[in-house]
Amino acid sequence: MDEPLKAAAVAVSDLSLHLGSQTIFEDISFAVDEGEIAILIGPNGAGKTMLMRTMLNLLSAQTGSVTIFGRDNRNLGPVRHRIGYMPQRLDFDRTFPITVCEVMLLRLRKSGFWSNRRARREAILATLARVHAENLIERRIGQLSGGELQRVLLAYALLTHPDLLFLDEPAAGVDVAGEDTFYALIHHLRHEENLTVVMVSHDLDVVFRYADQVLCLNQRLLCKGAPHSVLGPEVLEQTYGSLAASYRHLHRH
Amino acid sequence: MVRWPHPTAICTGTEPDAAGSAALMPALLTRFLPFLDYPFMQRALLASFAIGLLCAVVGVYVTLRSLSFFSDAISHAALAGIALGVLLGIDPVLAAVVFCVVVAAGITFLTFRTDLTSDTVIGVFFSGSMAVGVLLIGLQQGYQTDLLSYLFGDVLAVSKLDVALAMGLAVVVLGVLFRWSSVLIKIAFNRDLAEVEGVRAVAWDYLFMVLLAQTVAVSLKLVGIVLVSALIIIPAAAARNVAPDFRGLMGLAAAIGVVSTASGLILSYYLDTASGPTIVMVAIVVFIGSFGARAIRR
Repeated sequence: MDEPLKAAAVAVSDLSLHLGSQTIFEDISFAVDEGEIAILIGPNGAGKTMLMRTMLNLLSAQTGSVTIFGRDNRNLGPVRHRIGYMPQRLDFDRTFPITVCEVMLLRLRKSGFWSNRRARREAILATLARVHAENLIERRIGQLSGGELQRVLLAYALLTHPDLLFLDEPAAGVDVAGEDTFYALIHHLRHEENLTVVMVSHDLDVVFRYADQVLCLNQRLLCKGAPHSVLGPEVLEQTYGSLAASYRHLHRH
Repeated sequence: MVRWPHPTAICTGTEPDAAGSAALMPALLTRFLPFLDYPFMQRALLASFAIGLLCAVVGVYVTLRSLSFFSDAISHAALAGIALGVLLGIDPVLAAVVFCVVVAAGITFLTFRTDLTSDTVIGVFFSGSMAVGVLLIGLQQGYQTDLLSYLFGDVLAVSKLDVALAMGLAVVVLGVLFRWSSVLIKIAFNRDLAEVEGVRAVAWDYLFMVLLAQTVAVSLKLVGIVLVSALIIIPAAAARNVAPDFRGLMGLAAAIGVVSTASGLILSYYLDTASGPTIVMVAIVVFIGSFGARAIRR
């Protein structure tokens, strides 16, 4: 009996982005099914972050289209609340006195920033608890460590119970133990809530352990598919250059 | 720079409604606060409450978005607007509002549309509008006391219309900032996150610039072009040193703004000093004191 076809949460078709005379990426086409974890890999400057930002309509592509839950990404309207996003960098004044709770309040729809905080605090605490960050609720956002900030940003993205997460190098600046915890959490959430995840990562170990689909990007899409099927030495060399290699262990440490 | 008038001048009736207005003030109040006898002082205090609160709250968002240099440029651009207003025979404050909005929009537009850094664009507009202002002043015939009073403020020139304008604008601007504070904070926190959530960040940038330009223009008569940006920045900067969170920051900045302007005004009356610089000096004392408060809190 055939498995029912999964709907595509994200569908990218013939997408190209040029900035001035520079080609960032071109002719990108792929789809990410609902409940799938798709990981974008590629060397620095390959266009991974730019591709993610283009999918979110933070940049305007020259050609091609992106649909998210069937809607054009330039007119997301009613599906916007179903999307969560963790940017790669968070450039803000870290000396500014704003707490984790206040930042999370910004995410709640149709809520005032100044009123009814107690009711919203419960929802915020529950979400922070999902990422093991409930103890950070009254901490100032600028005083958080790299790992703590990543967990808070993930909680921020999860606060409205999205169906789709865009994570841009979510474990950047986090130690190895923190990375493992983070990705295990993403994996757990995916299974628990059928969450769709599109992620940018540099870590091939993460790709092999968690990705349903890997997308190799170096201005063009050099591979797409299940990691064990498509990530061979030739593809890695094409993506990263001649110095790249992968050593795969067949057992877990 | 205008100082306080000699009390005799007041008593001889240069203030047309001196007797009538003074009678409205409770005798107990004027016994302990004798300056409240003077209608010009009543107007100046009302204006200072409104402007102190308005500048302080706007200043929280200015410092949040690192726009201190921008606000300074807008306040200096007002000189050209005022000079243009005097030259054309229209209300200088109105002309200043329009000119400040145009400069603010121009800076915002060029910052987004070119590769130039924001401080470069601001620097160009800052110096350019000052140059335009000085040139326009040079076209005036005779000694222009009105223009000079706009440079440093003139509490005596605060009319009933100025008070109404200050209070009305404070209500509108503070209402907008209060109602959409989460949008403004979100944009400052991370622009991409805000846009992914459907916030039109560019439109909000323009709106905030307009609100800032209007705040600057309405504050000119109290503290003057040279010092209005201090009134915007210093209360928020002082509050940042001690506030534990954003809500505390906003409340503390507002309190510092109101107290600085009111007490600075009263102090200038007793010390017979110019009101604008005295107000700013009080704010600076509070700012210095905030470092001590921060050390104690730690």
